[in-house]
Amino acid sequence: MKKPIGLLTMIVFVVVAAGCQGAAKTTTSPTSAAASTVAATAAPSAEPVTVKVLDAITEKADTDAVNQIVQLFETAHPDIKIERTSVTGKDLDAMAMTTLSSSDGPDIIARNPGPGFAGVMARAGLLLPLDDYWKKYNWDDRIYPIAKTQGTIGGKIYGIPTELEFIGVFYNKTLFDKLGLAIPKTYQDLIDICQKATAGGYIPMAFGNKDQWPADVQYAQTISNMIGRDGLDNILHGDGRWDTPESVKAIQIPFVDMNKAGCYQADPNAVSWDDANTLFYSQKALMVPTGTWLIGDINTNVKDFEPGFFFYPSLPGGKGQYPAAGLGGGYWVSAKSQHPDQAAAWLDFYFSPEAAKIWMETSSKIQPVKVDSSGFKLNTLFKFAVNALQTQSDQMGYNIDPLLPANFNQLELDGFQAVILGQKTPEQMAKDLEKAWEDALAKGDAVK
Amino acid sequence: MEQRHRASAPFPEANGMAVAASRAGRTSAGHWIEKRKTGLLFILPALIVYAIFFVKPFLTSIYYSLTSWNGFDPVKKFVGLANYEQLFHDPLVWLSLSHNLIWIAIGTFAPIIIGLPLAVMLTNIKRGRLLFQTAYFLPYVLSGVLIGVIWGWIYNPVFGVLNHILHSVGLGGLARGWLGDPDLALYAVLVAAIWGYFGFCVVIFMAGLQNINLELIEAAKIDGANSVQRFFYIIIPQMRNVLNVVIVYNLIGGFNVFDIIRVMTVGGPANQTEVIATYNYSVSFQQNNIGYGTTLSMVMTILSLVVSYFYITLRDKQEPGE
Repeated sequence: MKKPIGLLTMIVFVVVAAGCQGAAKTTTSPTSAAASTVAATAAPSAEPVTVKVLDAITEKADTDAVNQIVQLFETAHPDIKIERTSVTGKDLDAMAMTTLSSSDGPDIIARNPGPGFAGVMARAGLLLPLDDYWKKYNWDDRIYPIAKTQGTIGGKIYGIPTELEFIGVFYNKTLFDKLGLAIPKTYQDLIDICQKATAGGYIPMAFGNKDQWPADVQYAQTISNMIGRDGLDNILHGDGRWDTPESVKAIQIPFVDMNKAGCYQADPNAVSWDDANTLFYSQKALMVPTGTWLIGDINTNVKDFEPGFFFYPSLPGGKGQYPAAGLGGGYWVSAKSQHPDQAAAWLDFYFSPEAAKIWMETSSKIQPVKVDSSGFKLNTLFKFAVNALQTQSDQMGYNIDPLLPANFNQLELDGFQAVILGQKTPEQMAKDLEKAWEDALAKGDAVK
Repeated sequence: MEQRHRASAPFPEANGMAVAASRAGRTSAGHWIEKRKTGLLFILPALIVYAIFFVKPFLTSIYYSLTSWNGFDPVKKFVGLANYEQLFHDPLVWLSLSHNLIWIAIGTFAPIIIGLPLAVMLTNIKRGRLLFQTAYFLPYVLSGVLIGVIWGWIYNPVFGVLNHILHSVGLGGLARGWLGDPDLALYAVLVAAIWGYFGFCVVIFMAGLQNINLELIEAAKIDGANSVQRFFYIIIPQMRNVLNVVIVYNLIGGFNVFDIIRVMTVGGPANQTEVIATYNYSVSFQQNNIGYGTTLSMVMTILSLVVSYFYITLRDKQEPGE
């Protein structure tokens, strides 16, 4: 038995030794490493610094826009290279904690602002405060105050939210004209449109909630219309509650009454958001309730009819029309970044008027940057939306999701589906939302 | 032997017996290792990999399950068994587990019930066998995500082919939003999963059928057994070992199912297709609750082990000679 043992020992030793040799070959030998270090210090390095950015930019129009911005930035800053990695938003949520904790993680990460998203990362010390850079680059002069507010966590500025979005209804102007319909000013007008559309053989409103989040968007809109911005501020920062009669109505109207009135295609919980949009693009549905993030897609897919946009009408017993608005994403610098100055330089360019112009012209997205868009080449739908925003800017609600804790958001995802199915009443859902909010406040996941 | 006794003489009398026992233990352990050194050396690399990629993460997971941690904070707050206590009172855990049990019950046996007769039929044909075998196996090559996307289109209530077929054959009353129906969604996803998996069973069973004793089948034919009787009384008993492997494999898979549900329904509508893995994902990554999410993982692991253990024990009891 000694011979095989001896032979095996030799084999294991050789394999391990070969592995070590292999590893050694991937690194420079000590003498050549010293030589290269000397050579490096002797002359200035020509290698640009690479800033790694992890984002969720996957749509074609958005990718085109950001690639243009990267190209312009790198031309203006030949010493900095931007290396982007794009994943879906859901994948980014799953990756965020591990990638930021890694020593080889991104310098800049994209995430929604709010306590359940960037707030968690900031409280864990994973993000770099940007207050000094904010002063250095004078961002107060060009970035909207709302972006600064939402990028501020615990009194420090950690990031800059991107993409001002607001919620409304896209509609098929061509079919509206054909059916003799007008933009609804009241809830009853909207119900009448639903009935006429059904009589004409169309789906009134494409509402696909298989992915769960579209219902959150609907609720953000109806709660904004019911209680206005002051009412939302009172809940988020005062002693307001989520289980008031107005909040119950904000759940009842879109998920019970409009569903029963036949405003949606059958089985909203069985239709995905993409498929609902397809119903709109293919002119099977007259309207699709969603946010301005869809404008780029509409421009790409709609060729056979004229699309339009209107704000959700006022609701019975509500405060009026308060289009839900908010900032849909954000860029945050990792506390472990080895190149914070270069990362800040990228942010400075990303939130410049030059970049904002590219976003608006290429992707129909509004960055929170003060810019005169009158000379920009904007498509008709986007121009309309921007004008509508400007006329309504004093009376807007909130797109509440990014402002709320994770447990509240999760309850919305599951709970609104249950309301649509009739498994949960609007009253019960409103009570559950209030409980989730109180639990989050008690745990410190939300702060008033 | 005498020399070894003389060598132990200098030790003090008071400790003689303890030392002798200790030396005997060490000698026994050393002897044990010496006898098995070759085998141990063979498995050492795999053991090291196993320790790094399974044992350490498993032990770390047990620790995380005793903490309240959001995955970001550098400090993990030790909470003892609080997560386990929460688990027992969490209605979504019991709902998810019930869905896992349904998935296991149907998902374990349906592919076998479909795959084994198909394998027997394919074994008995010469022409076209490879073509059919390939066609049945092709869905298994697809990822769970792709299967979910394809079947999502099939089930689409507006333009899905299933509802179109039902309407065209006069069964329009059965057409519905399959993935939005709380009573049917889980079974709809199961059908997609079974479609993606039964081909694997066909191939495995066809391999197992190569070892069937044909003389027993001939003898059964002579004795007048028909094909159904031969299938149940000759073929299935001889396929026992293969069946056991497939069943255990399916049982464990039933507790771990995730991707196809995540793609097709995200656990909805209203948690009606939620299973432990999808609930774990939502708790861990969407609600930033790694501590509780790890507790759910422990549940999945323990249940997989317990069910597999009970099944293997039961199988061994039924086969006392093996």
